[in-house]
Amino acid sequence: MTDTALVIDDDDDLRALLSFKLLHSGFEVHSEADGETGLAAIEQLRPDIVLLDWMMPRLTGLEVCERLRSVPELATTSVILLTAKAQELDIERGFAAGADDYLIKPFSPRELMTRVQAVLARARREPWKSATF
Amino acid sequence: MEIRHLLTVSVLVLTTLAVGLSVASTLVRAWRASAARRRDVQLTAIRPQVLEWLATVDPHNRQVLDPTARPGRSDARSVEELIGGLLPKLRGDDRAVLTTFLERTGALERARLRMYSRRRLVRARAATLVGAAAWRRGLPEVVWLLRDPDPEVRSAAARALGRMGAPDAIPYLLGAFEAPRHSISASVVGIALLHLGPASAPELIRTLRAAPAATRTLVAETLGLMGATQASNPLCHQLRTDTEAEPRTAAAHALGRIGGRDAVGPLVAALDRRQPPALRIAAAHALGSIGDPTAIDDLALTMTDPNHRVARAAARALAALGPGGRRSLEHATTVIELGRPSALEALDLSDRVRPMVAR
Repeated sequence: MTDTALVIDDDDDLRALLSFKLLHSGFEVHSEADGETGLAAIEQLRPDIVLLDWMMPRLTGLEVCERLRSVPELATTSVILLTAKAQELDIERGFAAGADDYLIKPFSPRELMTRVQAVLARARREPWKSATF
Repeated sequence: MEIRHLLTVSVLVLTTLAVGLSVASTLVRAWRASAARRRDVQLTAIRPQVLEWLATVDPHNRQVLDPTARPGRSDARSVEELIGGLLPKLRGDDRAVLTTFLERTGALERARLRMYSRRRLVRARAATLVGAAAWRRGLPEVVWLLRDPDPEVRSAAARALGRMGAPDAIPYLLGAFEAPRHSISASVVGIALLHLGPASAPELIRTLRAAPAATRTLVAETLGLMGATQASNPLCHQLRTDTEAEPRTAAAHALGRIGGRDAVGPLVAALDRRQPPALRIAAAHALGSIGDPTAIDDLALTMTDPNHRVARAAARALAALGPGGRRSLEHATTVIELGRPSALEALDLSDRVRPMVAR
């Protein structure tokens, strides 16, 4: 079955580049340019993985991540946070908000694709995480 | 009669010239606006092509990177502009592909030559592209633009040097900062130095000894922002011995950011009331950032500093020193002479900030 990926980034070029990369790696890809429409798309599409920019208009990536984790049906969606924020405290906040991985901009798209595969593989190895008790 | 005739002719000639110039300038502006619109349309059209090409290209296939195999036959300048914008956002193979592409299509060589253009925007854009691609062959021209008469071009050149990651550019950047005429702002040079990364720390440390006071200040701040641990001892030395207050204050801030416990002694010494208030404030902040509880007693004493800003900085530093610092603040709230207002304010701030950080 094809995995679904959602790219949420207000940078047009990065959003398009990542979408093409994911598309050529066999993903079904959707993209959004801000946090608010991104969150709505997550609720509607239920993607397997979300590539989420931190600094965005209307709703930041961190807020999207926190809201995503507060909805039980969406809590297992894998999230990779993309940001230029490289301070230890920021990384800590990113993971505390519920990100599965964190990549600092500028980044290597090839490395990002490797992380996407690793995060999805980890999610498949740990299906118990998606169980609702 | 003849004079009147001459005057009439002169007025007519001048009016014609003025109208002609005005029409020509309007036409040039319209032509430029139209060219910009055309380029926007072109960019919109080629963007998906270039991005899809980049998403699929094999970086190890030399043939694919051949200029004749470039995406589409669109306007080269639009492609260069698009790639120039993408380069700072990428690392790794994709970045290398784009740089190789620009080199093989001659775009970087053209940019090098454009740095001699008479148009300031063209010079600035060319420097930006060479910097984004970190193209070493363009280094002399970028360095030359640091002395450009136009401030925007000088700033573009400084930023380009930072992006090129060339530590050998440090003397030129600092020279441009110190220049009596056509200098570059501290923030632009500081960001450029930061972009050079930790590899530039040894050269910056050497600068701490000899440069003018403003440069020593800028370099100390930069080393702190870099978190250059190897700069800890030289910065302690600067804090103790510099003849000027500003470089010492910058050294105190930097030591706080670097966070080494070796700095606690010199920072505590800088809390002395004979030192300038700005330095005492910086030292208190730095001690709070380092978080070493051995500074608690000295900070508690500083809460009684006659300068309320220094006292407040000491109280906030104590709030950052864990349970010991908090106990000291709570004790100070009971006795007015121990800096009660500052202690109360710091405790209140700490109680409000802690839940926000935890979130």
